[in-house]
Amino acid sequence: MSNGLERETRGGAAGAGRSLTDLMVAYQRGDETAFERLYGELAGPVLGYLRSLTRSAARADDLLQETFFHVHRARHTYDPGRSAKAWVYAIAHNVFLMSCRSARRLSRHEELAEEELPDVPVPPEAESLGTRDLVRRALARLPVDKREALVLHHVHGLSFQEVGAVQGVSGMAAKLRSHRGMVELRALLKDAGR
Amino acid sequence: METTPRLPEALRRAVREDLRPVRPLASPARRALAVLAWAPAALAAVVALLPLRPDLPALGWALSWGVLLVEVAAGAGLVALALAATIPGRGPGRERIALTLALALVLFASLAALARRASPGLTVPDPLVTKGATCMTLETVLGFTALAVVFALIVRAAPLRAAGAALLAGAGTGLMAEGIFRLHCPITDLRHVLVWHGGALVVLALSGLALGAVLERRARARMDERLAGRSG
Repeated sequence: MSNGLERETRGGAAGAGRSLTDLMVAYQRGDETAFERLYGELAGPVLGYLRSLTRSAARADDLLQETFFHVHRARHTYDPGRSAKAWVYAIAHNVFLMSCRSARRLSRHEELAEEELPDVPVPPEAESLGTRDLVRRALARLPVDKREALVLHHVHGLSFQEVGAVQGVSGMAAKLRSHRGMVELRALLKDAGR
Repeated sequence: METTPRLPEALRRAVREDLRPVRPLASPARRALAVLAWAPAALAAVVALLPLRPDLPALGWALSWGVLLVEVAAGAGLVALALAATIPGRGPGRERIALTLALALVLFASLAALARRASPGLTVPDPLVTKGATCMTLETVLGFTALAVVFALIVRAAPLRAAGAALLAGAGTGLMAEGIFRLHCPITDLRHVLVWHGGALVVLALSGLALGAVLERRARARMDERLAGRSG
């Protein structure tokens, strides 16, 4: 898997010129600052990703902490030859799936979700299709696997290979999900515009 | 795009309390090689404790030792896939797990059919009953020794979703045990092989699944506790 995406994220305020791979390696060696920088680089995007999955700001906040807790626990499973970004997003994906299995909490948050609809990231390709609020609502109505593929690729810049790794499917299947998601999103927005 | 959320103090504390340097895990294939070291020991135990099947000359090298090597290698492949499944972003999806398990069963059944064609084996009055439980028990016990090793490797990776990985591990170790136990059992009747030896394979796969599910449930319970603690 390419590390190109990580190289692109260099130079962020928290990253201070170090790639995500460098930060992960330093973190594996016990560097606390590297963890803090990694959190600084990825917490925002991962929170946006979790919001798009959960459709609940409160639940996404909880799951963000859980994600980085598991990043810490499983830091020895990160392979420096692979994408750190995809590895962290895959942990977030697993944390989300685990949280879904807790029926009690799920029902509580789903109620909240319908009321709140937090400010989830909107794919740039979809911004021209309607107002931000309309796109956000249409996005929330997509099936979670398509929404996830679409958001990971178009908003978070993951390659389809990386999206597939996060979702546990092939890169081709991830591309298909994202494409179908975009088609459905356009149809929903078209309906809403009538 | 998004503003960076503040690093929560509880998370910072948890990280600080356990910041020992860690060595990245070896690749799944390399770790599966370690499990492969189990095979010679298991083979030595079977040869030392149980008689070799008398129709080995009729089967020939390919359908005796060759099949053993194929099943052990295929089992190790499943174990490697299981270990990959414990790493975030590396694991196969449900469809690929199902396809892999189906292929493993097809391999097992095909090799059993080939052996049947090559040798009638020991003729027993009722192949569905005679020696069935003994074969299944011994093969399952043999497979469990390998599953214990693989499961320890799975636990070490601290996976969030362990059930699929452990299911693959159970099937892989079951296939390895079947390959080795095949050198002892002289019955080639397909009813015996598919029901009792296939049964051992299925029991090991389901045991893996159950162990993985327990691991997953424990991880989920701990997560629930933390989430409940945060929400007060």
